[in-house]
Amino acid sequence: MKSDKAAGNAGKASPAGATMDLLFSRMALEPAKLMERMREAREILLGPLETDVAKTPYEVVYEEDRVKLKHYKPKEVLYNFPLFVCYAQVNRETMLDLQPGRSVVETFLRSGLEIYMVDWGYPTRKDRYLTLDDHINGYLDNMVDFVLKKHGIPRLHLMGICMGGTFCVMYAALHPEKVKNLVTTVTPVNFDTKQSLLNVWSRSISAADLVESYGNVPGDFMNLGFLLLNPARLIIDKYVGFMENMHNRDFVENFLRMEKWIFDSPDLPGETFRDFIDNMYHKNLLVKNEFVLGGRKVDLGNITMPLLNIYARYDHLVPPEACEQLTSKVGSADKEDVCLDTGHIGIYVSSKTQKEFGPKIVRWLRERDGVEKGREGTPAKPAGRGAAKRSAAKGGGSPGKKRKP
Amino acid sequence: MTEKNRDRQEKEKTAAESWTRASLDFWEASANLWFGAMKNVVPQTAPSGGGEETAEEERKGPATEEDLRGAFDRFWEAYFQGLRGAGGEAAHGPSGFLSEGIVKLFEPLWNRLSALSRTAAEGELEGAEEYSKFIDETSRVWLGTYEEELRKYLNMPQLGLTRYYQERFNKTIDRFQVFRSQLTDFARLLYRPVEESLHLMEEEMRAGEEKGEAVLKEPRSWYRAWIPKLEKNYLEMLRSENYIETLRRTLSALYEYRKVRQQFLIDLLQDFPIPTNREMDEVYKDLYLIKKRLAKLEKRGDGHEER
Repeated sequence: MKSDKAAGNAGKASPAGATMDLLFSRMALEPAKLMERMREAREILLGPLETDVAKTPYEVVYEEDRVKLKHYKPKEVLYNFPLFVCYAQVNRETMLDLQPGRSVVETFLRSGLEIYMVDWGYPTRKDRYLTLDDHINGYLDNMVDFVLKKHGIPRLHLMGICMGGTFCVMYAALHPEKVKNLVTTVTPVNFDTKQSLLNVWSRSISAADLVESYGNVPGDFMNLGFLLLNPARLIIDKYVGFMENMHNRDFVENFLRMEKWIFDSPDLPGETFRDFIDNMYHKNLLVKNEFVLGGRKVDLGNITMPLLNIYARYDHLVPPEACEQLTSKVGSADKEDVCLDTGHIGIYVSSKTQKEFGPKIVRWLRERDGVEKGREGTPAKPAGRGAAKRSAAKGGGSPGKKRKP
Repeated sequence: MTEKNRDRQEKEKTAAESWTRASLDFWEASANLWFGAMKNVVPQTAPSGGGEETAEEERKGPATEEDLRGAFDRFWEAYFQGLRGAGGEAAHGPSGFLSEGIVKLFEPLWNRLSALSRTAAEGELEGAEEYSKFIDETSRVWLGTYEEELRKYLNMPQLGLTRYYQERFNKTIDRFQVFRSQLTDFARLLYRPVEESLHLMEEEMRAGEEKGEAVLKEPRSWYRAWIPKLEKNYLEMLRSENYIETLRRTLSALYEYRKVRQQFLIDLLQDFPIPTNREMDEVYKDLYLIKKRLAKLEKRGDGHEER
């Protein structure tokens, strides 16, 4: 009776108080079970844990300022053209190689595909003035030129992820002659949607004020925004799940790897953020073919190479509505939309999509990896002298090297 | 003009008059005291026209440490007298500038808070909604009072050599207050779905008990029933106009605070051999432009080489 009365009184002041009283009183019924689980968890958490991410070996073949280009080489190269992967500037590219068995990089390498992957690094205040143009027509173009020169080829397979996909779409529209096939994954091109809270909130955010007050946009600031997209699941339920499974070593290790990746968030260069928010989220210029980058209009009609556009049905950051318009706007005759039953991150890391996502890209590229007569034989225009000087290539590559079909 | 506006203007006028009167009284008292103190501290060198005072002053000699201490004591005495009211009105109750001003400033806050507290004490606030209204109202009263009353004093024009420094300092305090209030509003809004979903759970459990149905005894079952409710409440709230507007105001207040704080820090850092962000940004911008120009020249050079 006493506790009921207390709950009633507490309810007047705060229903939360009364409900929590009730919950804790129930929890007190199973203290022995709780203690046993805590003992097991303590042993796991205090012992050695394998939580490293991005363990697949690679070589850094190009460096320019903070930006690096990673080269992953398969045991045997089975493709004519390498795959160039451009990740977003939000979070890090290590997500594609989270752990053995859950690694897109591993899937690509197993198929014989050679990979170059952009590591945007950690921008400092010095990078605050870098614009979208500097990243796309600057760093990205320099790295593509470097790979083309290294392999002695005129074009490569280009794959973009999230914001990096938007970069690739812009790049492919401005430099179509350098892209053989384009793969976009969870790539936003249409920002006029209410399916994602990010799009709804972004309209009320002044990018100019944010950049003026912070310089670069702090990674933690963006992370907080991502957590607030679904606080019940991302701030509460996720950690309740962890508490419930702390006695399971595999679960703990997987959880910590993901946790490491999520909160490894570089800052975003201020002017790049401002460009992206103003021109994409506020004005939606890209899909309207009205976006001008480096003095040139980005015309999606210029994208005539084959296009594979993959997105996720339950993506709360880049919903299907943001991705699916791309195929109807490009000039390619060979194009395909693939919508997977997963979320924004799940598309790369869930065990279910490991069997769908990577293998689909591998198959699609293999079918389009052929050497076209009179086209692919032409050696690529050498990369700029500046790029070569900036390069920290080890080995350098061999132009004209015969590659296994 | 409405009755409310007239009242407000009247209050503002009275508060401003109190401030002016008290300020003048204080400075006058301070000045008198300062000159009086100086008479004691500084040796009188000018001839005073007679011989009778010299014996006394010669006996006193130059100012001692005790004289200085006495002067400072009397200075502070005058200072506090100024705060209480120039005519030593402290004895007649809180009619001096400080107490009067504070009463005027906080009057609406006290009135509204006490009204709300009475309502709460009388048990009229039941359930999450009413409780939340009470908290909302309290916060609004504070923010309103701050913005309508206190803020004006921080934005008052400053005088003299240090005016710009003082203004920047005041602005930092002001923008911090606004940001803090907005952040409180934002945090409260974020907590609301928790409160509402817990309340919903409580009601469901009570209803179940009354009907004799099995209640959720396992914490895990309770949690599994609660979390979808919480998620639903959040998703509704996060899309609401109210949330978006609160988010916008909170972010604007944050940006404003950071900008003025930066200015204030620049003032603080100028005496130290530490470059400020503004200085570094100038260097970074130059560096950025030089590198861009260099890259263009390099590309042009490559073109010439190829030809």
